[in-house]
Amino acid sequence: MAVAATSPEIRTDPFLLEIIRNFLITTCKEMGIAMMRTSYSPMFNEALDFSCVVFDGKEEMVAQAPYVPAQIGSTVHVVPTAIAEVGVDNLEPGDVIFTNDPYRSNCHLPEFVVVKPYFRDGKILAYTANIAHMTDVGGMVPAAFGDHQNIFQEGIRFPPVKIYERDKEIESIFKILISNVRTPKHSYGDMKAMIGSLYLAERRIDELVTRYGVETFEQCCEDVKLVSERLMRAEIAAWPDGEYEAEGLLEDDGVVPDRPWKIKGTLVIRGDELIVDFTGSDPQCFGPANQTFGTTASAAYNAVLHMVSSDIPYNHGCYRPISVIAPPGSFVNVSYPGACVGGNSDTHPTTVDVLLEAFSQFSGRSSAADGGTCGCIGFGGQDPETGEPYAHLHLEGVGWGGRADADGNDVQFVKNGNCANTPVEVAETRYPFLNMEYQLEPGQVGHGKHRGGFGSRRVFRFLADGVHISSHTNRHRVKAWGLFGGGEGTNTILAFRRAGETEWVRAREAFGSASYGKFSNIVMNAGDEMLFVTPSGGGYGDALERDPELVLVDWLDELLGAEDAREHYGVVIDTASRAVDAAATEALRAERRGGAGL
Amino acid sequence: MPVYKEVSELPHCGSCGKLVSVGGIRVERLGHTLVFCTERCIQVFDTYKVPKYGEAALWQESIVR
Repeated sequence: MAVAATSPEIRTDPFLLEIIRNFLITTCKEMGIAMMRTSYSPMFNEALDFSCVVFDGKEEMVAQAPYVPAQIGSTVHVVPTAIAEVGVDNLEPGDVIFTNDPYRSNCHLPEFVVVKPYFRDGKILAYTANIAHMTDVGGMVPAAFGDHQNIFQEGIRFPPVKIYERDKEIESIFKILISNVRTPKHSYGDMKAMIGSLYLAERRIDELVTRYGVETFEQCCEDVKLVSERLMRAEIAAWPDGEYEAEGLLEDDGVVPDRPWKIKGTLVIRGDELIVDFTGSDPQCFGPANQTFGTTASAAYNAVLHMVSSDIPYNHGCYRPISVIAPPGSFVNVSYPGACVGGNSDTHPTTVDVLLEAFSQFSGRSSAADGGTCGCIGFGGQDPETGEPYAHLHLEGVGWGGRADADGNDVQFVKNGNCANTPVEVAETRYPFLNMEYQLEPGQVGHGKHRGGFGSRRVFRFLADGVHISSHTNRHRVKAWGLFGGGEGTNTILAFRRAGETEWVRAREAFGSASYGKFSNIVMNAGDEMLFVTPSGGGYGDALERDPELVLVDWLDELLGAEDAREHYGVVIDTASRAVDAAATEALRAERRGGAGL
Repeated sequence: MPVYKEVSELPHCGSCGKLVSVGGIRVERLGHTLVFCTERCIQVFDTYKVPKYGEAALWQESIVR
């Protein structure tokens, strides 16, 4: 966007401000490309489960690249915390700070955070940082996701420490790290990719400062934040003052059967400021579905960013008008030693949907709930060819909720997750399973004027014995909700069958787990299969108002049956001519509307 | 233990709930010394949390001991 520098407080020439702002964003994108090309694990080079940011010398974010918004929101807190704990006065050129501590505003243990100060003339002018998802962090299951009950079961935890000092690795930190994970080569390679991208960004910022000077750089950092803050405040000021509440449920915690956990969110709008208050949410749960403070703050920021113009430059200025309240020891702010690995994957999207429901009370930009799970299924064992341990985290897309101007997206990674789909060929080359089926799951979605998106259906067949399967998935019992009369989405299905058997059996019945979607270390053997159907999104608006031609398109695409079109949408399809029977549709809808009023 | 304090020994901001591992602002409120992470959080506590929740605005995790 073109940022006008008309205010006397914004001192940078507007054209120069845009040049430098975009240079910093491009630097963040380049960091990501470097990580993608130099990393070892598919989580980095295929799923792109990382984010890259630049902070200024005041420890405020000035640029980010559009990788994983859920991670980016937490960096607002975890990066300054990491710097403060190591101590600015203890930092020297060539140092790198590392942490993965979820209680220090990180998202969860698998998110590794590295931060590097950029010095110029003895002064810290900026910090380059990134946050990335390590496939394995030790703990009781391969690839981190299961039904843990405390942080110690989840894996190894590092408070903020230096991992590089004056451009040299601190070997002891690396040794502790790689001796505690199942995939030492990948973890080491991925860490080096993360740190390498920091050096790349530092070189770019150095080029920028050399060209424009320290004073101009620092002023630009101030001005880009100020522009964003003003644009954000203008958006909030246009909303009606008041308090808007909504609630949603995470269906279980993997430990206590059938006990749902409540997220309550209240939007408090006061002039050009917004408080997002989670008071009234449940106490922290016994399993790993708790959110950290960083995850909750990120969910709040991202929900707000969904509701405002996408032209606002994303940086610290966006967050200044927003205050978050997350009671310690609650489901939205886990206290030590509570488990929390799944809070970032499944509770985060549900939290965003709760806030979007609250927004829907006054804004037309909101949407119905989405599939609400990242589909995190961990695979691990001994590689049958090399004999070495392996760990792989499978991610899956879900149907998104319908919105005011469009249907929900089909099979897309949850809101703010933004991870890419790991290609079948890559996964099958590296790990001992085949994909026997992979398709959109036709049939029911959240019906509405704008329907929910479709989920997917995938069948895995295992090629080796002793494959350990662990899962943290959601919406097996609680469906995505609709908005303004739209229907609910559908449930997740995760089921298994042994070689030679025909019946699919879910984990609870087959293995005695407390949950259908959260369990640890189920063992699959060669020839066994796993079925994974992801949920569809909720519908938006009255299904009888849906354009009949869109209903026809779904029928032509074999996503919707003719009987479903009639029953849910009041649309009569002439299957012989493959067209909508307009007269019959009009009559049927009139009858339905009349009937509804009786 | 001089080398490391576990997070359970550290306070949380009295308004937002974030762990305040270093620094913070200490102020007297509701008969206790509370820690806050920013001036903005103190303002939210005074103008929103206390008027709305009264004594329940106070979290034990925010009291400086």
